[in-house]
Amino acid sequence: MQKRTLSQKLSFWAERGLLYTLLTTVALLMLFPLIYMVIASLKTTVDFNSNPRRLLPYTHVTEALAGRQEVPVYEFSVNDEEKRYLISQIDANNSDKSDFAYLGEVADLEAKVKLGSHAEQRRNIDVLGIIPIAYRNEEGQKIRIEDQTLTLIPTENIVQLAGNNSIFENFRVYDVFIDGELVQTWLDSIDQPVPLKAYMLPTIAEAGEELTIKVSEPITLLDARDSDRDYDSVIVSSPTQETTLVWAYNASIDVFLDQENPQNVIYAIESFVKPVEVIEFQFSNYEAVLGLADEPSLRMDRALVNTAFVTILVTIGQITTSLFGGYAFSRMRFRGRDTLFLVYLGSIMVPFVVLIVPIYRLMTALGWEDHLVSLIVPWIFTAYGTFLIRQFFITIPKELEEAALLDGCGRLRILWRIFIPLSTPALATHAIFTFLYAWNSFLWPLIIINTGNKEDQVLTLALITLGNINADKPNIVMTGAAVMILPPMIVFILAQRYFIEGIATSGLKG
Amino acid sequence: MNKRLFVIALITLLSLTLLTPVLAQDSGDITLRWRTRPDNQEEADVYQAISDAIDAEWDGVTLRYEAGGTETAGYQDTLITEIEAGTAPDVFWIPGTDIARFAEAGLILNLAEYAAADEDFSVEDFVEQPMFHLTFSQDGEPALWGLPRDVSSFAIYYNIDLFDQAGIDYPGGENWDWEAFREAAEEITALGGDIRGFGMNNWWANYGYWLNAAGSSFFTEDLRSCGLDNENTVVALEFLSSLYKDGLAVPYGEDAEGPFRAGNVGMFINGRWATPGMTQVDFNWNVAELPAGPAGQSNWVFWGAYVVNAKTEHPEEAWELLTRLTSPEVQGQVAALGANIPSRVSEEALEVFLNTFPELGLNNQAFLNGLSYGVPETPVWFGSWSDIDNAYFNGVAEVINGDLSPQEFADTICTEVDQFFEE
Amino acid sequence: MATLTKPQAKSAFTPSLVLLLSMIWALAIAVYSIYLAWRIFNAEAFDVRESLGNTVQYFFGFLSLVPAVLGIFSALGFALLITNPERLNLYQRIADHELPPAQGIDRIPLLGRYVFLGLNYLGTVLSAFYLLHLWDVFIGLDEVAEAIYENRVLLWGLVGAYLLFWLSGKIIRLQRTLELIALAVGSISFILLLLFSGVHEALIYIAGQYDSLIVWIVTAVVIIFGIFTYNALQMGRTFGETPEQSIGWQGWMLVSPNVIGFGLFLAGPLLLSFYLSFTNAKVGQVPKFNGLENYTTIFSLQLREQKPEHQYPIEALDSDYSIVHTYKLGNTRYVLGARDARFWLSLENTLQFCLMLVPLATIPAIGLAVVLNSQLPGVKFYRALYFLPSVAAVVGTALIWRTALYSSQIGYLNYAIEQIINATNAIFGTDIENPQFGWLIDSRLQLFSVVLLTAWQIIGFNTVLFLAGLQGIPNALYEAASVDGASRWQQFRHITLPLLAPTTFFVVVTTIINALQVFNEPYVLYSREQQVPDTVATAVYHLYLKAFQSTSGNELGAASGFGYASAVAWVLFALIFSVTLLQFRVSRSGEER
Repeated sequence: MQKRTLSQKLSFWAERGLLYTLLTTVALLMLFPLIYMVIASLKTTVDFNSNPRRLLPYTHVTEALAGRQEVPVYEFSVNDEEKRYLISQIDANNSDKSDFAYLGEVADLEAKVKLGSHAEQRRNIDVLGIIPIAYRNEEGQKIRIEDQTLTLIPTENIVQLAGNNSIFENFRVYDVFIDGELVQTWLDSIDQPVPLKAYMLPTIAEAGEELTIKVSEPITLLDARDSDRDYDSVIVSSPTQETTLVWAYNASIDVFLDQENPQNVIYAIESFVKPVEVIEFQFSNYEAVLGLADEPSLRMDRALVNTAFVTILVTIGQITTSLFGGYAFSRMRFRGRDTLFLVYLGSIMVPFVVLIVPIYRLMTALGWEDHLVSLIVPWIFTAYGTFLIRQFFITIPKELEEAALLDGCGRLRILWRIFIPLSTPALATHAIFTFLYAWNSFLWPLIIINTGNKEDQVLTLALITLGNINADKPNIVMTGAAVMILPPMIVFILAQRYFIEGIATSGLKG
Repeated sequence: MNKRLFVIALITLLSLTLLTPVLAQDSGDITLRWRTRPDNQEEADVYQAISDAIDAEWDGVTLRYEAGGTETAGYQDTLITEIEAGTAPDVFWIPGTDIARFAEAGLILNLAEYAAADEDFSVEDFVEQPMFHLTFSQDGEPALWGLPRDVSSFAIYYNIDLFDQAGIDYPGGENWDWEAFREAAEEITALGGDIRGFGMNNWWANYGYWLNAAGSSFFTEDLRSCGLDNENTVVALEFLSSLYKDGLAVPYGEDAEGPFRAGNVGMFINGRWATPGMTQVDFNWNVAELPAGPAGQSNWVFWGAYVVNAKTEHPEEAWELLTRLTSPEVQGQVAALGANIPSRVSEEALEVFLNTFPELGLNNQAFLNGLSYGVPETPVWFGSWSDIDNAYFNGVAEVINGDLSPQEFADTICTEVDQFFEE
Repeated sequence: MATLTKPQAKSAFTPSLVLLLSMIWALAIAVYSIYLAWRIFNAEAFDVRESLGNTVQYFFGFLSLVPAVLGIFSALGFALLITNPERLNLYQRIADHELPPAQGIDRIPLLGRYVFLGLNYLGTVLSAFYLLHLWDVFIGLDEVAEAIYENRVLLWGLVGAYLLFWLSGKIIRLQRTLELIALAVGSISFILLLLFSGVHEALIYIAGQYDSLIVWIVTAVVIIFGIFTYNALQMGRTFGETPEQSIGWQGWMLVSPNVIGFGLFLAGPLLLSFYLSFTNAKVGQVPKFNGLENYTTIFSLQLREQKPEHQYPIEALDSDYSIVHTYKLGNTRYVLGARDARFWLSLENTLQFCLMLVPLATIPAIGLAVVLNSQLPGVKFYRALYFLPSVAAVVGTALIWRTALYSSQIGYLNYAIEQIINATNAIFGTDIENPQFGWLIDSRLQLFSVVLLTAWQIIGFNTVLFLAGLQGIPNALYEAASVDGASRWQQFRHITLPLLAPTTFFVVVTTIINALQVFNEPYVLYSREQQVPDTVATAVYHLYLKAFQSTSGNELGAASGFGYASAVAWVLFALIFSVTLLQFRVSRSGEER
């Protein structure tokens, strides 16, 4: 072998590098939908719906404070100090006052606006708070606080109410006056750390102090969605102090507890703060779909077994019939052979849809509807496979066969001893085609197998049912798709070396 | 032939034939198969339970419930194939729009005589609009094609959080009209990003609502021809297409439910059937009535009915099954799922419906209000609905995509569609 | 069969008793067939569902007369032989090569024997089929699947066996041992699976079926048919069969499993659909023959000029015509209308689909194949990777494409386009706007989106076909070319492309044939919206719609129902067939050149 010069070597390796890079890039592009499917099938539902979309599966880190349920953890900075916070789970829907926000002292404006995206452009306001801009009167009508003055008078009354996890907590009762008229009574939690949103009241005021709320000029702030927004603001005055509060909006304000020091409460908007997430693959999706977990509505395991069963029988059947057929068409001269072959070829060109009703009738005449046999027996007689095998057999030298015939071999034995061993690639090709065809067929099972019949379902049907019944769990639907798509891929990868050879040597190339 | 032998043989044969029915009855219960289209597994389970309960208390009849596929899984296509081959169930459910074509083709039984013989039955027990179509007769003979399983209507599902962020009033209330709707959509879209004010799907009832609320209608009053050739159609489509053109809505034809669930859509028009699935989302939401259009409030009364296979061997039992499946108790059981509204005028069943999803504080009344002024889902007795539907569907899509002007649509659609009506 | 493959060996005469019995059996078949035909002709409700009409009844009646005629014919053959020992002798001598193959002698006995063979063979197959049916074997497959499901743990044994076997190929040292273990694991789990699946119960069940007389009768019939088939096979010598003739019936026997199944499950339904295309068949109705009406409806086209008095094009057409297209020629506008306008629109969609699909599915495939046609390590792996999209079921991939790629707001396709545009704008300072394509909703893009999905699915397949073609090109050509100093591109242009032409042609034609029948892709891609928009409705989808949805029972449903849909299908068939015929012609002429 000649010695290569350095530049030759370089160009050799550069060429190879380029080739592999190109191949990999194109392969990644081509396989993107499948990669997406696999990853999406390992996501949680919330993560699947997350906006903006991310490729990798994330789960929200949760943590439980002593004696309480697990809650999601968030991370954000207050006063330039980045910390982890637990969100306090409050069911806003249970509140009959959900139109009201709670008044509360939020760390400070700086911290608050940082939760949005444009800290640099913020304007200075003394205190950012959250106050109600509307309330419901007894008839249920919503009334905005316009020029009215809201007055809150904390009373000495303390009541006990069940909070989260049915733990009784103490609440202070406030009287609320609007324009001097008593409209409602509010409660405020005394026992921190987990304030109940619905019953929260300002902690600005001391007990016994009168608090007045007046609407003032709107304040323009740049919000987290990049646009200038006018926020209502109010002046809250108590005998000792006066503060300006900005009304953000109510129902979406959440209460966060400092992870290390749960007494420390911060108010923020959940959708603006960054959740603490880790990459985690939800293999439980597969457990659910494959029936390993106890979720009967999702199970596809029976369909998987049925599909495998049907597919294997159809494949074996097709190979057998087309071996005989292909041999006869290629090697036996009999009257009517060419006409028959033409009819076979023609039948490939008839759209299947038109045959649905006649074949269905045939199935009912045989009593096969809604049974697996209707997916097997009619499909093991194939024109396409016969054609494929015939094209391959034609290429086998006649001499081999003639010698065997002279030795007194029967036709079947010739087929078994000579043709089959020689045509492994072609058979593998045919087998893969059949396998895919049977595994992926969809319209016929849809018609012939009753969707309610779980016993005889195949994967394509199960996937459609899964998609319809679990429209709210797209990640599970992706898992279903993966369960359907991955097994034939594995089979293909195992058989591929025969397959490509098979195409190369069979008549398929034209 | 020996005459005596002949007579004996004849008598034996005859007595055997006489015995056959007796023997058949001995062999056990009558089996009735019935099928309906559940929207999810919970519904399928409830129907199975209902079937089992009726089966247990009904002597001499064995019930077999088959959960049919969903709409996208070719429910009607499978049914047609089975009817053609004679393997369809005795009793099955079909949507209201399909009643006419099934009845005209003689696939379902006219139950008028069974109803007349049934003292306990009264047409007035059921909601009026579906019963009008279910008792519709082309030849003047009394007709009853089936009994409604349930009814449903549209509402606006709205994302409370987005409304709060935008700082605007929630949908509903006194001045809730198209203008208010558009304003709300604009405000919410102005929140920026992927947020859209409004979203809906694109099958007939969705654009149908806008047409109806503007005073137009799919059909003329006698239901014998196309009713869209008027200025109201233009008004409706101009308003609707401007919502899409101005980017206030999830693009027409794209699934709006996904973005709504992801919290990116302010208002989403859908039927009651979407409610149970919506409990999974992690934002606050509620429902409100559809906005009033230029011609006042509008909505649909969606319905579907249990019908009897024309080839059933047990028509009387099938009729009884129909009445049992629509009894107040069963309607209450189905209503408790919260996915549909009882079709029987029954206080108790309605009460059950109104009390569904208490933890959400859901405005269930919005759906009932919708029913009160809704246009019933219409079976087309004098034409081919699937062709009409197809023409409307594609025409409206062209208008909204800007390929056709609302005026041209209104001027030409009826020329195209009227050939799908009988003369 | 051994006797046939050793034609030189002599064999004894078939006794006349056997011939006599055969004749009687042939007559029995004939009598039974006539009885059957008589029953069918006289049946009041031949078709329980009363929806197929008399034509089908007569068809089946005449069909069952065919074995009657054949039975009589072969009985005649036997009779001739039995009554004429001389002829018998003659044949024997031909078979023993004492005489050359007979010219111009009476062939009736020989033919009669073939017919008898065919009859008995078919009889064996059909009655065995019926017997299996009586045994509930077919329905019983459900139970087998159930049993496998119940014992699915044992399937892991088979998987393990495969893995061990695979491993044995890798570790040469332990090959024998591993193979043995694999074999043991595999067979043990298989046997256990069989045992647990209740094979014995199945056998007991089948035995239990013998409590009814019909099962006994059918079993006897199967055996009798079987015996006579075997016997007829052995009688070749008696009838003076030549080796060529023997090959003839052997050929038929070899194709027979295929042909019988094909005839039963495909040809029958095909014939029925052909018949229905000349009727007004609809669900729930007895079809009436209406001649060519379906076909004339399909082909009712008219081209009209839009006159000034017509405000809109549709007014130029007759009242029951709809617009297919409008064309502008100079100042006049022409309107093409059709009675079933949506058929023509769908046909146009289908053709457009073909036009877009062919380049998208072949050109990248050629490129990939050329790159992949190397012996470099790892390339085989890439070949497999590129084929993977072709493996996935369209039900699943359509779902993935719809959620992951095609959504206009959150799809990755638009995301990628946005990134590219942003990058371009940043680098070149251009100001290209982000188009936010509505892949599934923009009427100009919808069809293309379906094409894109389909192309993605078949590119891998086409690549493999091209690879096969490339491997047939001798390497020497390239070597010679590179000695001559030809560049890579020149080699591709002047060697690869011309020599790949037959493959290219084949690929294009298969792609076209498949594209003309496309149905699943649009159906699944749009199934959520319940309606496939006009812009992507393909011809097959149109006929599906006509068959299952427009089933209005009134007279206006003329252009609907199974009858009409069948007619559409056969029109489509004619189109596809002519494309294929064209392929044959062109490839023939290519070979001659």
